[in-house]
Amino acid sequence: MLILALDSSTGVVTVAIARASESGREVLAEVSVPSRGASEVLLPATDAALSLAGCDLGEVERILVGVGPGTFTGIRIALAAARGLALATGAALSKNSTLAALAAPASVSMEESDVLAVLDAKRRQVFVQRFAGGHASEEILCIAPEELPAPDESLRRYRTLLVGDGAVRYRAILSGLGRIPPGASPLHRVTATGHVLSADLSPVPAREVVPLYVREPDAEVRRDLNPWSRG
Amino acid sequence: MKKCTIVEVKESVAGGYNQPVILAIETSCDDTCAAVLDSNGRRALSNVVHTQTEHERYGGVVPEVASRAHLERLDGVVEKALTDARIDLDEIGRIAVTVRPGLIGALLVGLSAAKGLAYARKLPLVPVNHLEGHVAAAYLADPTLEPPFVALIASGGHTALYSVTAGGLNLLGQTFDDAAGEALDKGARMLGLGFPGGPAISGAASNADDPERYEFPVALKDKNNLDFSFSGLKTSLLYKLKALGEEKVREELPNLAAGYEAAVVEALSRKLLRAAEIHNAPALVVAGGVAANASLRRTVTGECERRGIRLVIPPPDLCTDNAAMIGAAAATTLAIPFPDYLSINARSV
Repeated sequence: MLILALDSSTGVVTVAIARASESGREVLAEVSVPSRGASEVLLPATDAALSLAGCDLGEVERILVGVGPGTFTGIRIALAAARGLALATGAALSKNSTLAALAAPASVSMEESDVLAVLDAKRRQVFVQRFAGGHASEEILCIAPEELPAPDESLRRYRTLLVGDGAVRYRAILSGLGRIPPGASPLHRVTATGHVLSADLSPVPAREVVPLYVREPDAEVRRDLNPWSRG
Repeated sequence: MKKCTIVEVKESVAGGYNQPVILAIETSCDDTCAAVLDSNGRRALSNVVHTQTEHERYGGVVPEVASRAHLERLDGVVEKALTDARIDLDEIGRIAVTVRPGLIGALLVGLSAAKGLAYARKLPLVPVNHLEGHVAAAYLADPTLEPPFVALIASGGHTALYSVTAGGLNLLGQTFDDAAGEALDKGARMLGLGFPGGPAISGAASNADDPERYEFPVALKDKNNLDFSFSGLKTSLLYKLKALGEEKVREELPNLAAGYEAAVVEALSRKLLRAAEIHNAPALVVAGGVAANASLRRTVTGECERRGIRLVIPPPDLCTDNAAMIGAAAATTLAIPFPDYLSINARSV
């Protein structure tokens, strides 16, 4: 089964073409571009990845999209494009959390480790989720880095690895929770390959392929300050 | 520079129409819209509008809430537009989408979906200016209409006058501050009426026993330009409400609403008719959400009849945001051939 994986929830627009078979999942091409302009980069990256893999979009059977958390607009650009592509090609959709994709390369290479995926959520907060043995072991939190809880006693025997732009930005605060690779390490990047490695490829109806916002819109958070709000 | 070419229209018998049909998408504000049009953009085969009700609790459109709702609804709206038109995606010849102006996050949802659809089907993409869409609604209302004419676009986000020729739109004047629809929304809020303000004010005004009791200022009335200003009107209402006191305001609500609405209508119709004189326009078009206002329609219709000027005001459902008007504008907009549009972006202005 040919898979198109895409994610623009973070500062990297990333697309991969992969093949899934009984013997495993093989990435044929990945195009990742550091960019805040997901609208300008996502489909050119998709086109480039298809060309590099020597595949036609018509052959794609599964469109795997990263649903966040991350920048709201970036998540929506990938989801709207993925849903448009799926509607036009008839390919089924699958979804995966961006934190799972971030944790995947580290989890694969260090099986015995506990991985803490930490994305910079701006406003001095991080989106964070813990993965043990490649699987999410805790819920996603949106929290100030100082408030991140220490791991459970049961996880202490594993060495924790912290990855993601949030881990790099708040290294001084978070380094007590585990090892943080150097800032230039590719483990800190969200990649479409990470999605291919970690996603459940079960088909999901388009209406259920919705963003993982984690955070409420500001208008809702500050609704008590809005004199025109009702209800 | 992106290469732009006019798309060659090929012979096809799809859907009983002899030319490829247009699928249009519009998500610039708080309506999620899709439509299917015949290839010359003068007839809508379907026009699906999903008006987001999520904003009522905030008393105005919240951009983040609008973007979230667009994403949830857009593919359902597109599928309904195709079903209503009895057109299969295979029969679509090009995809039109609003790229500016509007709420950037909202525009990006529509544009990303449109690019995904067009790319997957190897179709051309037509990037449409929302305001040109409002003008083009007139072609759907009257398929025999041809430029030149003068158009007034008045909505919650825009108030402007254009001279429309075969070459495109030429801005003649616009609002210095609030849009006409915004002035109505804000006035309605101050009067304790609902949102959107236009219909709320009209509803209250229809019960006025003395609609001329309260006079509100019409800015730039005697200035020899074609611009508008509505911020003073709003301030004037605020002072009037303070002077009257709560109880009197409650009693006088219909008359206040009527006076306020009349000032907006006079500002719009006065400058429209002045533009018609200056540009010797054979026809006038009034479009945008505020063109659904019955008092404006009545006033402009009466004046045009008196002066013997042809007037086209699209029906209310084509005046408020919709995708049929975007498809209508696409018929006269350069299409970008596959795959040269992959990197195009939306713009808020």
